[in-house]
Amino acid sequence: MASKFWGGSDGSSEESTDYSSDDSTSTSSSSSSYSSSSDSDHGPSKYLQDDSSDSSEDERRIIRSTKEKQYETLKQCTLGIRRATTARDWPSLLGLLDGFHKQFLKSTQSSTRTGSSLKLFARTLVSLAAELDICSQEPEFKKQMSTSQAKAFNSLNQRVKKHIRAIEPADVAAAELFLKTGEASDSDTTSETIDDTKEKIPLDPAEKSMQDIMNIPKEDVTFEMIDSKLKDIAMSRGKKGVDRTRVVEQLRYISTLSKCPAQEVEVLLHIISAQFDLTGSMSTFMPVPVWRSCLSNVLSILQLLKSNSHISLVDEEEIAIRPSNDEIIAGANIQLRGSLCAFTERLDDEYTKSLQCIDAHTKDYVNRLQDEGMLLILLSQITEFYRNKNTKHVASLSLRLLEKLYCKRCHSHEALRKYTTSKIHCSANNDTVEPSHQNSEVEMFATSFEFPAEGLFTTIEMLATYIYKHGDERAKARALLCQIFSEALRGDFKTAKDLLLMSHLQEVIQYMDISTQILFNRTVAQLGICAFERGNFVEAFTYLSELCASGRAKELLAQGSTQARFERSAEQEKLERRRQIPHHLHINIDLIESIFLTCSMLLEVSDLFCTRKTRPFPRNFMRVIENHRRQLFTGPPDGARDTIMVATQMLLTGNYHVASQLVLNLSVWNSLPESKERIVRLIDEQLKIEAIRLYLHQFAEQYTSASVSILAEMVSMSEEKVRSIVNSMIANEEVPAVFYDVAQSVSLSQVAHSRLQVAANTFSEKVLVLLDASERALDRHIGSKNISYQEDDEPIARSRRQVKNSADADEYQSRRSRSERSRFFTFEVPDRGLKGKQRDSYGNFSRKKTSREFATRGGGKFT
Amino acid sequence: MRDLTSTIAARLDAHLTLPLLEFALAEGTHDAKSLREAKLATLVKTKMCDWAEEARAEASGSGSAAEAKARRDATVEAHAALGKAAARAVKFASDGALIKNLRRDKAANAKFAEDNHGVTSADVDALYKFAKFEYECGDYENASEHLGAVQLLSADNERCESALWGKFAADILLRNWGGALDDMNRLRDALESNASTSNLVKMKQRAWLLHYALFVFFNHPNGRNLIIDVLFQERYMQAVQQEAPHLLRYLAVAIVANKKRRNMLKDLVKIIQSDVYDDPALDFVVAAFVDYDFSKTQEMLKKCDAMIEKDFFLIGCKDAFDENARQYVIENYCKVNKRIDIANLAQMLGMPAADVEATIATLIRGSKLNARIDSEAGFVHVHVEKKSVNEQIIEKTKALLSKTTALTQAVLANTQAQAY
Repeated sequence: MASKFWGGSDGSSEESTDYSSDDSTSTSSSSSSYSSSSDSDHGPSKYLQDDSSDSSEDERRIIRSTKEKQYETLKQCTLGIRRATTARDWPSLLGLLDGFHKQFLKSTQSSTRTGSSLKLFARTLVSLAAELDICSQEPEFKKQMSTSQAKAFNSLNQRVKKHIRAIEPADVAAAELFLKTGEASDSDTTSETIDDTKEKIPLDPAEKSMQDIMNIPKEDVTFEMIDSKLKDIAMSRGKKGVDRTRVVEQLRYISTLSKCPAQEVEVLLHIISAQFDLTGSMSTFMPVPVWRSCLSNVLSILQLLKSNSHISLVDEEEIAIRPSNDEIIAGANIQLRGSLCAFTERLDDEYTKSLQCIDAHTKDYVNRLQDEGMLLILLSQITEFYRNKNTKHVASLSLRLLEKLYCKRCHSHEALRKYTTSKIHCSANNDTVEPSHQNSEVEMFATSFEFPAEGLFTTIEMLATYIYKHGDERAKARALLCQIFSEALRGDFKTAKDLLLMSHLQEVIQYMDISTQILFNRTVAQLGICAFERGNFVEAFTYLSELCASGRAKELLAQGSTQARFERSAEQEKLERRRQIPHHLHINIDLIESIFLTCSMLLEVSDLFCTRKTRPFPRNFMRVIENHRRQLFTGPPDGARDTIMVATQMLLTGNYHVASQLVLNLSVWNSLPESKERIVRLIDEQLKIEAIRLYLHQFAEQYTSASVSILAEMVSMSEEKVRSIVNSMIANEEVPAVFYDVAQSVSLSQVAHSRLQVAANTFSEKVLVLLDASERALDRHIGSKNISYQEDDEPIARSRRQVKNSADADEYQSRRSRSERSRFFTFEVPDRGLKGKQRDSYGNFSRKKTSREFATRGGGKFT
Repeated sequence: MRDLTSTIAARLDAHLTLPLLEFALAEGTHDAKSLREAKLATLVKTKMCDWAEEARAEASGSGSAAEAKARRDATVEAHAALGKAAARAVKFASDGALIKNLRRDKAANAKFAEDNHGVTSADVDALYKFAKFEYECGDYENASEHLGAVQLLSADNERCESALWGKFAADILLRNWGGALDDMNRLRDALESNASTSNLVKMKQRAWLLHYALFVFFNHPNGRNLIIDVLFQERYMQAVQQEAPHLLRYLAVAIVANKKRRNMLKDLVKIIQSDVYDDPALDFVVAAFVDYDFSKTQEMLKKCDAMIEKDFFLIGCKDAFDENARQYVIENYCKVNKRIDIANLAQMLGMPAADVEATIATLIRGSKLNARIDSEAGFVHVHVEKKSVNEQIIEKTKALLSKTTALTQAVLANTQAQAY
């Protein structure tokens, strides 16, 4: 703050803070006579006041209007400034100037008559600027200053210029005139004039013209004027304290003045950069109106570039030498720096960011989504623009377009197309109503841009094919995943699955970047849903088990995080937030979980009681059931998980009807509108089969015979069907029984075990478990050594922990996915990797490795 | 029921489809008229003018005799011209002793031919063209011989490959199954070792090869083992699943008809279950070995019989299939049922009761079945015994020793590796 030597300045700064604290009071009672309120109103600040600020003490009794008082303070400030200027005390001058500016702002706000204070302000500033100018031109001046002084001087210089720029040019001119003539030409201000301003320096003519450009009539603006103004604005870019919104407005005005297409493009480029500058941080998004206008600016550039082939944009190489101004007007070849590709990508990013930030349940979100049509137009237009010119850009833009399209269904795409087209047309029709600049951009849409005409799937196919040909590895992988996702969404499970398996992506996905891993997870989830829709429960289970068994499906799909299980730094959290998938693209977690649990129930429940261990024990499912059983109070089922658990209990007691009621009436199935009926039927069929199998498994030891007709009645199924189920159970030696055709019943044979036999049996089972555990322990030991984890890398180290956590599920999963099934689908693996070889040498371990379809990725695919 | 003639013909050489068409004509699976037309269309593609004319007459199509004559003359002329161009190479190729002396080293072969007999690579090219023409004219014997020579002499891999395809087809048409088998194996090696083709192309080629090979599989004495071996190779199974799932029918029939390969049924079932196929043979396998639905099995068995009778390739193994399929069904039936009515079962399977009884007797003798036949009443009584607990425990712990040993070794190997 100001130094103590300048009492006046101290007082003024004090007062300025006072006023800011009770702004409203002072404005409301601006004209009434008002006793110096600094004591009564200011509360604590009164006691904090410096005793040395005696000026306010002295003037306490004098009654003046606020306005007058403000003017008084302003004048005090000018005096202080002038004194400091002559003393060349830059640091204190800086403080004084700040106070002065604040005071000035206050006075302009509170009083209706701002003319006088404005004039005073302008004059002070102009004289100060002149003084500074002189100083900087003195040859010895800079050498004499200390570093702190020099710093203060520089910032002072900048600040003065900024203030001058903020004032109306006319006022500045008047102030200059005033300084030059040195006479008080004002009649309506108070009699004081700033008469001791000696220096009368003419201002830089260039600057003058720049100021003028905003005011003089359009016809008089020359190319050079615009050019220099542009340069000036470009210079100010990124500097502190530049009002960015104002810059954008200025530029927009200039763009209407531009003399030739080349210049227009140049101005537009500046506008776009300035608009992007408006949002500095990565966490906030670009305001929607700005985004829209920015988008239309990019499109206008595109339009101009298309119609004027002599203008070209260059982004990487050196640009050719700029022709002279006259040549530019005449239409000479000109290269400008800028990249439509980069702009488009940035716009796309901003769009995604805005969707991440806006609350998905508000109308804003829906409105925002409507902009997607525009974005699609932009993306496809720019892609077309670059085609045959720059394959790299086309590939990267194609990928972006693809990533906008891949999770759309046909009808929603059509709806978007309809909406956008109608919007374009309707705004083209009533363009007279619209405000002028909005109007021009929309009109342009109507005339030249159309929503891409191809159907969704042809577009996706086309884009993907292009990326496969020209994109880099990451783009290819992403494009492939998008394509698989889209196929799965369409319900073409076979194609989608073949694509995935042929790509071998599941083997390398853990080495890819996180956002691709998320995409992979999404794709796998969608594949699981698709398999389920087709009634392929086994596949659905395989695809979803890893996502769901970990209990972190939300996190893995980047759809919001579950409670932080691991300590996260703020930085990581921010990163994670940035990766979140916008809400409208979310995959229904409830649906996934219900599918997974239903499949688990259908596929695994009989394993719980199966005496012949053909498949590993369903640990995960058992855990879920146990958790449910452990509840002290089980009310009526609430939510999908509960319902399925209760249904499982019912199945276990042979109560098929209740179980099917519960499962089939789950509300989540409604989110599969197309296949709901079919899927419900399929689940029902499978449920019946499982009910019979479970029943026989459970009660085989208690019965000597079971009538087929009763069994059939139990699950309302035809007797032939039941016989076939029973037959296959007998043939596979799942239950010790035979079918007796005379009685139409299953006769079950029993063997009574002695206690010793039972004990021996249990013992042998436990030994097996022990062996299994040691095998697994060794397996993990050998396995982990060959994977090169870097201990210092936090996220990876964490993922390793997860690998350990989920090792059970993992192991189990790998065994579960039946090796032979998938063997015929996977293409020859060129290099099985170190891990594989190592295991192969131990014969019996290789069995586990054969088909780690998805399990290979371990738990650490998304940290 | 689906007839596969057209599906298979789509991946066969025009010449190879002719036997299929002839068979279809004889069996009357399709409308005779359309078959005749198809035959004519196929023949026109070849250079077998006389046969084409016959076919034209059969199809009651009218073609001007003069035109046919002109075409015939042109063909004969072209044959003569090509033969003349390749005369030197033909002379070399028809010398059996010389060909026998050639080794696998192609460069040496070519050098030998050029040095001693003046056969240059241009001559080899001419020979190839001539052989192709011969093949198209239906002179398979010479074509096969000449293509064999080309394959030994030509340094061009692509040329060799197409020569092999040609020779393979020619040998099939000559019904020289031993030769065809050799060709097939050589062609398989050539296809796999060709580095320039992409995976997709390779897969398509494998599918084509399998179609050609059907002739070998169902005619060569060892063919029915071969089809199982080849198709269960991972690459070929991929090709089948991706490109030609209809071939699974042949695999299924071959497995069922081949008693020694019964264990492959499990693998087949796994493949069938991974996707939906519509084929009586596959349905039979599912009904009999997965669902144990005997009424459906019986139905499918009938369909299979009808299907096999109309299938060009399968008709040869009809008896074996019939016998084995029924035996399997009887086995399964006895496994599941406590009391079996022989007459009922015989009726269900459409075979004489005596045969059923004999089969069951064999089963009992082979101690696959613990049962007694009550011939008087016409019943079989099956005794069920649950395995004793002792047995169960022995079975469970059987693997323990070997597993533990393996584990110990693994630990040792690992610790030793660490020690170094």
